[in-house]
Amino acid sequence: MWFPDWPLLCLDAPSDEPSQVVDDSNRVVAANSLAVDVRLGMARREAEAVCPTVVTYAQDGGAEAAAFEPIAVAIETLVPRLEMVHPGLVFVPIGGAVRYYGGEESLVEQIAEVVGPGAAIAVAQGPFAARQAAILARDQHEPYRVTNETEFLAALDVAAIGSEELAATFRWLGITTLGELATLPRAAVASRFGTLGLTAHRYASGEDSPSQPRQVPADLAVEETFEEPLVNLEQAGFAARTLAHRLSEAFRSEGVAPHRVEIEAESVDGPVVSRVWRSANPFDEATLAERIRWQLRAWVESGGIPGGIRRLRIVPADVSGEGRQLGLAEDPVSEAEATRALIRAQALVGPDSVLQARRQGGRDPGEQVQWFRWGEPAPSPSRDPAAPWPGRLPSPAPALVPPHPRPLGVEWEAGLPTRVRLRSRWEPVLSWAGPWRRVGRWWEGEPAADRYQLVTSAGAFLCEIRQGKTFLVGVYD
Amino acid sequence: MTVTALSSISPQLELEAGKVVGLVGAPGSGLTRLGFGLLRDQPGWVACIDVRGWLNPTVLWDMGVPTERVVVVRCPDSRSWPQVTATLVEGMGAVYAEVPSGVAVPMLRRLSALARARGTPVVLRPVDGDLPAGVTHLRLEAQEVEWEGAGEGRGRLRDRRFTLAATGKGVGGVRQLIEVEDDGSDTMRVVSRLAVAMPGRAVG
Repeated sequence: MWFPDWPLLCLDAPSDEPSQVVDDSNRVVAANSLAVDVRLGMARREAEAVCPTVVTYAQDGGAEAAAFEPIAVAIETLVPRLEMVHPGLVFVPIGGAVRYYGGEESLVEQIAEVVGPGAAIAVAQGPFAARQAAILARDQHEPYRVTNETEFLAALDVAAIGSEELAATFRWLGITTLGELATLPRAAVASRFGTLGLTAHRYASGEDSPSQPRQVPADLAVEETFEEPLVNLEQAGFAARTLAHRLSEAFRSEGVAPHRVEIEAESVDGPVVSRVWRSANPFDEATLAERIRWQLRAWVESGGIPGGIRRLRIVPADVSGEGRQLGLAEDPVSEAEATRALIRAQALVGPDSVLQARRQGGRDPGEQVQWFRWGEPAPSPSRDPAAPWPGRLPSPAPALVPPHPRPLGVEWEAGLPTRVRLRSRWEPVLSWAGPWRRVGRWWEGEPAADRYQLVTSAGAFLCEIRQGKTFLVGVYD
Repeated sequence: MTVTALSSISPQLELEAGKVVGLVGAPGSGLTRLGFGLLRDQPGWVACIDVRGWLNPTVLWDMGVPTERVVVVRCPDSRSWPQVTATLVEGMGAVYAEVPSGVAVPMLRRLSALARARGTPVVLRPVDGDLPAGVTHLRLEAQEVEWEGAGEGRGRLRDRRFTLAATGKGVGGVRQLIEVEDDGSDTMRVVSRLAVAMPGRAVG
């Protein structure tokens, strides 16, 4: 059961002007028929360029879930245990209910009646086929029933697998429909196109639940009991984050992730309510927390939990090891601990002080290091490390490099360094090497500099002489 | 003062899980490179706490510490330093921390206890001055340093020899003088190791 433009519907957007809804990353997630040429997934600017009169709304998942809750409840009065994918799209397992309601047709009619107009309803054996059939149902404006799933899937275009790049490759190889894809040997598809190809082949063959669902150990379910019942959304949001974190911690040590979770809430003076959410990709911590928050908001706003929430329980199901493959030497627990420690350190000193570094080209020791924030992708080196860099200093590199050259007291006699001032005392120079001349950016008025290595009994120092003044640029520590 | 050669002791300087090594000495004595060298064979993520913003990661790479597993955390503030360091000791595989002046002694003892409890090897390098007693398992103090390769305006810095005085439980309570040779490559060699008995103490 699918409401194609749920984000728009629940916003009560006026139907006589072109409107669109964009998500956090400014991609169009819904657009009405008046917004001609606007396609889903388009960037907001692009969409506004092709349809300048379009009115843009920001997506609010929590509000959508809350608005959808009455519909979910209405369907649940007919068929229990539905599975939410996102607000607007639910899978209803009708296997048992069909006989009770006297056939598929009458059940579909009843569902259509309770959910109201605008919904696309399709009946199929698997979620993937049902999702595809719902697209047809939307175009025909009437429920679509898939009678022969193999034939139905075989006739679909390869674009249905959801990856444009892979679909383009398949087309280029002469495979245009899912039927043609399904006839290929699975091992061959898997070896050439990897996990993505294997998933596509499974979809094409009508096997779209994880083929080897692993058994979930019962103790992976997480539960939280609140002495003070949760009554407002901030509390619920906080609880959602904590539970999602605990669940993903438990999963991390197992190296798996759930495709399906059941969110169960016990109210203070009401019944236990529960709702199942599913996802084609395994849930990660952030999406899981978001789903839990949406659901809690939906319950709170629809008055489904009178008196507040006393207990929350998240039960995972359909676990797959997909996407959680770690390197051989990697230890999932220590990885997670290190990440957590670094995130906390970021919170304490700021993201600009938690850094990683990479080698790059340059003449000075400080220039040869490219810093970037931990957690962000490494930028491409601005100076080529493989280039010769004439005038660069020989190794070993100084271990301590002040970010800005510091004035250093050096005594010279007849052009030779004799003493260096270290803190409060003067140390005689035992030996010295250099100079290495750096021309500098003369076109920007930067003067040339001579670099010397000075050795004293307290260690060796790298200094630079610029316009008659001596600066410390490195300590060989 | 009696001097005994102790060549049978392992010639490697190593970090042990949960043990704190203190490196004490003025900048220039070679202790940063030694500290980075100790981090090399540690599994997991390595954090370097940089108080002045002076640490040069090139030396880490020269010592063979894998680039992608090193994070440098800059923390110039001595008030937040204990908290940042404790956080990293708790989660990282190994920690090299410069110690700013003005960190309370009980704080350093607590950090040492945390390292022991978590099994994280920690190298402490005070920026200024010494470390208080009871914090380190092994304390290495720079004694002297000699460079080879540079002349009177000729050559370049090449090899360094430095002497460390080792004290603490890590050397069984017997003060040792360790001479280390560093040729700028990824290994440092312990050339000699001498147990130095203070007058009035027996050497075992």
